[in-house]
Amino acid sequence: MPRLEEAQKYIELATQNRGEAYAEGDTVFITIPPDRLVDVADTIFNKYNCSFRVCAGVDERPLKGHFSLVHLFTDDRAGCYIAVKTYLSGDKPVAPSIVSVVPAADWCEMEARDLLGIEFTGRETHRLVLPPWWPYNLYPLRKDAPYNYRPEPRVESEKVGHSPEYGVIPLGPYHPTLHEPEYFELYVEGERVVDVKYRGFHVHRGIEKLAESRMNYQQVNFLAERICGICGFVHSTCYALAVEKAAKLEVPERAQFIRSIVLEVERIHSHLLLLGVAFHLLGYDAGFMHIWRIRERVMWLAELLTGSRKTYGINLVGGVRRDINEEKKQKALEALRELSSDFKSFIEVAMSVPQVKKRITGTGVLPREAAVKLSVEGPVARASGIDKDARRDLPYAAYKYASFKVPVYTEGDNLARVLVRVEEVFESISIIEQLLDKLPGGPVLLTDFEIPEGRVGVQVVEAPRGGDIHYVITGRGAPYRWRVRSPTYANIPALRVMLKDQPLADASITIASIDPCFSCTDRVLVIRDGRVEVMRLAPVVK
Amino acid sequence: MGVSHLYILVVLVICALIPLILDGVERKLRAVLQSRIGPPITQTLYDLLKLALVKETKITPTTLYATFTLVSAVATSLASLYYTVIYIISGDLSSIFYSIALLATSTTAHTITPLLVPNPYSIIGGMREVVLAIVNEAALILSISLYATIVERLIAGGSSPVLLVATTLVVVVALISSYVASGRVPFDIAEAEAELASGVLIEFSGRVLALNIYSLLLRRLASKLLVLAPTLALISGHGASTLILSLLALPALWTVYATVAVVLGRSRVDLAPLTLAKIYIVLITISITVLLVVTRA
Repeated sequence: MPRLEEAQKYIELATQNRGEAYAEGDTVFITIPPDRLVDVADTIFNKYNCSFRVCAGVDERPLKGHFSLVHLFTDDRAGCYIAVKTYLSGDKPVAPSIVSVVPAADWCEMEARDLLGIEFTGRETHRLVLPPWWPYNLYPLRKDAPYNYRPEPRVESEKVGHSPEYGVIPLGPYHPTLHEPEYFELYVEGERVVDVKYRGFHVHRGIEKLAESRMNYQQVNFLAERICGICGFVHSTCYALAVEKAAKLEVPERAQFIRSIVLEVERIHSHLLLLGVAFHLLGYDAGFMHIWRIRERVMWLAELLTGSRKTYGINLVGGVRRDINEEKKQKALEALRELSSDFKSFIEVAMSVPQVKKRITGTGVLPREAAVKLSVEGPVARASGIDKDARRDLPYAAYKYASFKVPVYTEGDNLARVLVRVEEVFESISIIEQLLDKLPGGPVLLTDFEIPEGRVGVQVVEAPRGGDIHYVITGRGAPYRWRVRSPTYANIPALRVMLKDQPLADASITIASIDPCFSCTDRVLVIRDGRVEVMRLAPVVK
Repeated sequence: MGVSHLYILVVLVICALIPLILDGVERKLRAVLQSRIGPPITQTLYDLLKLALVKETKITPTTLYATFTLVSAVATSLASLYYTVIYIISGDLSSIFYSIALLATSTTAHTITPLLVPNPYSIIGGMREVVLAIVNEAALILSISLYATIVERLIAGGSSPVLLVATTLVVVVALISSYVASGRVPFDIAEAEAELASGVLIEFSGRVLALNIYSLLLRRLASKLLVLAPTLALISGHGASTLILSLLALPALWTVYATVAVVLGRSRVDLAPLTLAKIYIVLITISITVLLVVTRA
């Protein structure tokens, strides 16, 4: 729950700007006219130092005849969410861009433009997620766009950028170091990177549309888990918590404990996976093999607790569908002890390998100012001196019952990001042990409940890569609007800062250091482009 | 003379085959150290046979040039091995100089191959290899030449404590430079860097790829044998028994290099040559100074 005076601050801000506001649970809902949006966003982001999480366009025409645009901020010190809503015309939705005051809003504005046809003033616009051949009058997330409509794709080739001054090194979309399709264009002078252009959104899965169109509340849990193969449980938990918050459901405490335990198992798995990849990219294959050997124990642990090594599938709105008995608890504690000692002894060796140390120290630096400006998430933020972690700042599930440290480094380099993750592995082990120890009795699933229509729930869950946010407007039997933003979406823009003026040889490890997940980020729509005038490589930092 | 040439020919055939097995041993050892089962020790042999006999060879506009340089690299490596064998048996100092020169030629041929391929990743990797070779080849040539010269002097009875210090320093340089020449971690910066993973190796297929791999393995053997030759000559003099001893010692040195490669990470193109240059300059300068003092004395 936000502190009263903090909530009051935002309510007053809304009143001063000809808007209205109210606080409900841990969220302050503000509605303001479009012409006040930039000033309000500026105050919340730059004066009150809130984190910008994402914006979401909503087609409310079937309900109220207009579109709306919601900007989601979190006040991490006060522990509250701020949802700033603006109503836009139902015929020709136009909103002022807040990119001039909140640079991190760049991508979500362009996504709302592509998918809902909301135009933005005060900024340069371009297609971000839609392919160039997609019809210009068809906006897939509008309610009148059928979910199963497939325009005939047109194959267009694409040329690598050209620079008269610098060498151009294309990295992707398919490349051995990139585990998912993404495209970086590195402009190099000798062995030094002087500029970077990024293009993502190569994958189309249409997950949000699918959930809004042909699924019910419980089915969406399983769809959400399939957003990502690594942090899928984070997505399903985040979705379930958002719906439960919107419907004001009192979920059994035991279920919340189990969710937190499994979330931490997933975090350990993800961090070990990333550390292994990082060692591989640094040519330290012994590190890669040993870390992945240790990771195998985490997979075993996940199977013990959930029945699956990955994609656990235990979340439902109202709780979980798999319990932890005493036998599992004891086995899990034993496995955690072995995991901790194995990881501790190996990571000390790995981090003392001279080449590993040398190549991650002082490379890929993200200064704190840039990190704040771009609202980066998770270990990327914490390695650049930003002390934020949703588990502590915006507590959910059972984290309030665990005591843990949030590692923060100020160097902002690749080493700092690695060290944050290493420490988090130990913290996660400790959190699981504490929660298993305090596991309360009772049911694990709420069986009899209703989800009223027209309610709003917004939830951040601290994924291994940073804050994952789900925004849900409840509908009849299914979400009316479901907006997902993964942490990688917020972290990729920082790569340009990290890669610039760095050795080319460190490009791969720097890209890996944000632990990018493109299946999370690219869940919306395809890009394949040849027409420079409509679809440029997105300049990732203004 | 005819018999001795036949003898050398037999040894050369053995030398040509040994790296295929030793590389298999290295892969197995690496697997054990990394808690894996790993492939059988004959896997490298199978790989090359499959590439050479089964897999398709895609002919690109640059295949001809690449084949020429790679064949040259293999031929000069074999020639280098031939002269090393002659040196081990006869103690003829000029033979080891020929051997060093031929190995340097082989390295040059191997190094320029990526530069012939019109692929930006390949060219960047090739340029990295050139930078590393400029630093390392000079040290390899100088250290082995000095080492062999000192060893002949020691065999002739010119031992002194100062000379032994110089010898130790030269041996260190020779070991490092032959390790670097073997293209292992942390000095595999040309091809193994992740961002260049689409470099020269993806341009080759079938027999040309087999030739490329074989060329690297032969150079590994030749560079190791160059370090072992004077060492074993110092221990047991020159002759056929020393040659057998050298062939027996090869797996041991190969294993040491393989183990070192497992415990290290990859260096960076700007760090590796600079660090090596500093080490080489210091050690070689001290050695030469000591040798000059000894010579004057």
